[in-house]
Amino acid sequence: MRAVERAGFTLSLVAGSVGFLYLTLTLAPTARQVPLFVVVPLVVLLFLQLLRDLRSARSGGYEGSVPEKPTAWPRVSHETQAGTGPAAEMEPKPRRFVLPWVLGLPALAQLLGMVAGPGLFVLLYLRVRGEAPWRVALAGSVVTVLGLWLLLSVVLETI
Amino acid sequence: MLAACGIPMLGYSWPEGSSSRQTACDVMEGARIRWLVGYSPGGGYDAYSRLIEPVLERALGAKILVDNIPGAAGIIAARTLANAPADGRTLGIIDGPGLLLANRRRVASAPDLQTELVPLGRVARLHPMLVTAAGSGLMTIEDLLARARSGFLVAGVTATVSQNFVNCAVSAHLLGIDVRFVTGFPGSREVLLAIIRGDLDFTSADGESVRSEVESEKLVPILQIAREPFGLYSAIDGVPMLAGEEGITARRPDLFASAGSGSREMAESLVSFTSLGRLLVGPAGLPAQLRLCLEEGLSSALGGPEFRASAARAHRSLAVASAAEVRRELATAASAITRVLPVVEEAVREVR
Amino acid sequence: MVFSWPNILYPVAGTLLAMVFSFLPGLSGVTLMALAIPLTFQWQPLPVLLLFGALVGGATFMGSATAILLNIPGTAPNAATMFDGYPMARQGRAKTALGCSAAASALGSTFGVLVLVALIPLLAVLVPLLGPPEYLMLAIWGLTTIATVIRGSVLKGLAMAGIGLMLSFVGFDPRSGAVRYDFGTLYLQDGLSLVPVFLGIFAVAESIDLMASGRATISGSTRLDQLGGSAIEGVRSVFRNFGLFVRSSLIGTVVGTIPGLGGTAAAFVAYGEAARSAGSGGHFGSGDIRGVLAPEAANDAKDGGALLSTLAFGLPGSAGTALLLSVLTLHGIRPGEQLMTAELPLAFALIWSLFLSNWLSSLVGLSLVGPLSRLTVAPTSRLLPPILVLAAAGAFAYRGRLADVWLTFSFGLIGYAMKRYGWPRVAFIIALVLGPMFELNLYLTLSLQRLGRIQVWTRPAFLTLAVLLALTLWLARSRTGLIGRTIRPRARSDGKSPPKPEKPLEGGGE
Repeated sequence: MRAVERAGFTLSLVAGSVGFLYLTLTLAPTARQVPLFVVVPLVVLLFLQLLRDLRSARSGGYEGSVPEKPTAWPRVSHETQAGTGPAAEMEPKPRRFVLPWVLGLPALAQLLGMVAGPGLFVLLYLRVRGEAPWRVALAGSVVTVLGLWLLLSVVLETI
Repeated sequence: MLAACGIPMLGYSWPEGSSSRQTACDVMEGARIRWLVGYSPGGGYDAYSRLIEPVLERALGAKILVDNIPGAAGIIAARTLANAPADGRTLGIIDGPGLLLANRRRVASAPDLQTELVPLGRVARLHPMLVTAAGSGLMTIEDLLARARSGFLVAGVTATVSQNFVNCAVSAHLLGIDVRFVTGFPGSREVLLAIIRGDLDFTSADGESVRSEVESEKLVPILQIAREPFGLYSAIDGVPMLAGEEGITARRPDLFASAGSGSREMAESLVSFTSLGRLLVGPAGLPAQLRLCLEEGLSSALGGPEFRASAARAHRSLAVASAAEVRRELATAASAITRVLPVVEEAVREVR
Repeated sequence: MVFSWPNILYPVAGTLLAMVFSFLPGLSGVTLMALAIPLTFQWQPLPVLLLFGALVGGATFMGSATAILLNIPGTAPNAATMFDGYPMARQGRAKTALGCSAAASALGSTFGVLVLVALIPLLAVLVPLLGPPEYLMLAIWGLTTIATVIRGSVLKGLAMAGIGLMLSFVGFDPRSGAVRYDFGTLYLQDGLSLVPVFLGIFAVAESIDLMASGRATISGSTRLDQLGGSAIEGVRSVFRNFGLFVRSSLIGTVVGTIPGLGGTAAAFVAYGEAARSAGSGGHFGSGDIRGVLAPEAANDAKDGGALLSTLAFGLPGSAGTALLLSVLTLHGIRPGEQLMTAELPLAFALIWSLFLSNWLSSLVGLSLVGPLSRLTVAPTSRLLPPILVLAAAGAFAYRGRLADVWLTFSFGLIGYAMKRYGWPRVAFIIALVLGPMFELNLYLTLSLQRLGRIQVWTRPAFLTLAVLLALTLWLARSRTGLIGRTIRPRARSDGKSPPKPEKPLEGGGE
């Protein structure tokens, strides 16, 4: 499944670069000189990578690049620390429905403005996803609203 | 109430409708005005905007926020201004000739200066001059022509939509010089450095902007694109003018033989076009009374001694004009540009 | 003059204000300068220069603090610090990274100021030597560092660099007057702004990763005493890598003289050069202290270079010096001969104010290392909302446009996908930053060469840079085995075989 996703992302990059190639060809000669020199090899490189990804997706394995993320984070040992709590508390707990939360912030900002929107986001995130008590969520929201109002309206006067 | 707006009584009774004008000025009291500048901080347009900001704030009783939106030779800021609501909350300063030219050339997004923007006044004119490097051997127009006889000359500009490109292209056409353009320099100062290095033969630059280089004899002005001397500083006294009765098109028609009989008219057109200057504008559609309020506020602010003193301290010349004067000059410039446009278009085609 | 009473108040106040501002992503000392211009209009020139010199110099350290702790660049030049600073924070070594950043900032700015002072008599000769061919060579040098910072697939790295270059071409092309790749929108006619892209590609992308992985804290620890490292260790690392520090500061000073490019390019070029010189012995991108030292030293040294061209020729080398130029002219001070002769004391007041503010911000910053590093043991469930809000606020505050916020979060998703599927973001960013410089100067160089106005091989500065580039490429090739390294990861410096590629963390509902 991961290999399929990877190939899908590469395919989207290929599609984008082909689109850029098309747009480049519509430009005036001076304007397209350097972009053409870049986009043609780019399409080739991406296409080669796509072939590689498709091959690995079909074979079901993972070959090719190392993910950018470091592969092993040094962990602090808690075994000798008395009363520090179980190490399992620090183990990552993968969470779902990330995308709605990520897009929720700009959407709320669009709907409610750059002060109220993020304020509501903080309240909802802390309460729903962070499982924080109401007083913490409300406090966070109020601080956010005040801070943004101070920064954007009073200091920078952008709103 | 008008006194609270800082607008002086001009010694005549207000025509009917004065109460609604007072209301329009009241609306500006305490308002926040976004002042758009189509160029980066540090340049001439930004400098004039910073000078205007405090005096206009007092004249209107409003708060001014200077917002630099550089890009596309000022066109992006001009388009943003044209698209803004006509409520007096968005004003700005533009390159009048540059925008007029861009619009006529149908440059993408360039708003129409006569229909999509409304002039509220002018703060200064530009003082375009052709300049060369000291030590290049190009000290006069005759030197330029002599060098051109043995080949082409190379001029540098920032963009083909810039006014400096027009000045160079039209001047070269009038003189019958084969000129090749190098465009795309990030800014006018980079062009000047390229001239000093000897990478380029000449360019067009504003007289005030190159004062330091001219007075220190790094650059040599060889032609003022004007009808009358700029009189900015002594180092440019005696530099010939292009147009007018004392201009070289009148006194030395032999230099312009290749351009034919219309060279004087074309020179006059170029000067009419470039003298439009740095205009203060708002979006079209401003209510009449609000527009009058803004015009008078600007007139009062720019005509005051404080503004003149600030400009003098910043070594910025002034050529303040009212909205009515600008509208007249705009009409003249708009018709003048039709004469130079074919030359400019041809030069652009050669660059591309 | 600078250190007398009450003049000392201006640089101190300016420094402290700049530090507060630059902690907020998307804002910087430049924003503060723009706000201060109307307030200082009636001041005498000396206090104005003292204040603005401090605003230029005081902003860099705090911007690196957020880059290290939260993966949010406080200013665009701090983005390069994130590549290794944030991994260090995740490893519980935030204090070391912050200490290194503070020391490198202060010493880097000292280097830049010393170079500036030493070169003042030669300004009139030096600055005109640099033209389009030299800028092109610097851009190529910067772009070649991409090859060094790529870990893993060179194919993907080069493709990412190509994408970065393509996106750098979006917007108005001044040579032809054409608008490219704007899709009919006014928003894109000005090109893609770096600040929202940086905030998205790094801050938002990392936030998504934290969200998806469910990681408890940034460092993995829940207590401050569980964190390793110390600020002193970070400070010492600058002296242990003194050669790298000098090279990075030199890069910063030289790149800073290039108009319009500023600290962003200086930091990235220095980072790439550090990675290249470390060869296979480094683990850049995984928490190598040198990856913090190099960009921070360059970022602060650039102020000296930027001031060089600003004071001598009115050519601002950075956004801060562009505003400084505006302030100078408003107060009737003309850069060039007037400033460098009759008004030289004012020029020195500016320079010393800059110097003082860099040291002050580093010293104050060092004292804040402990409190700041608490952020790395705070629960991510509490930390993520402010991180995302800060990123959104920083994107919005930049130009006051909601479209920038959407751009930030769009690039956040793209950045997360890049990270998840192993596409190097560093290569993309370096190409995006250097693309305009490369294209513009390539065109200018070719045009001038074609017209017979220049002959690049007869220009001493160009030849010097070309030789330096060739030398560094040759050294890098012999160290890293670049040609042979295609899909295999770089060997670890501890001699162990590289770990098998790990499945990226799950997320997004699978």
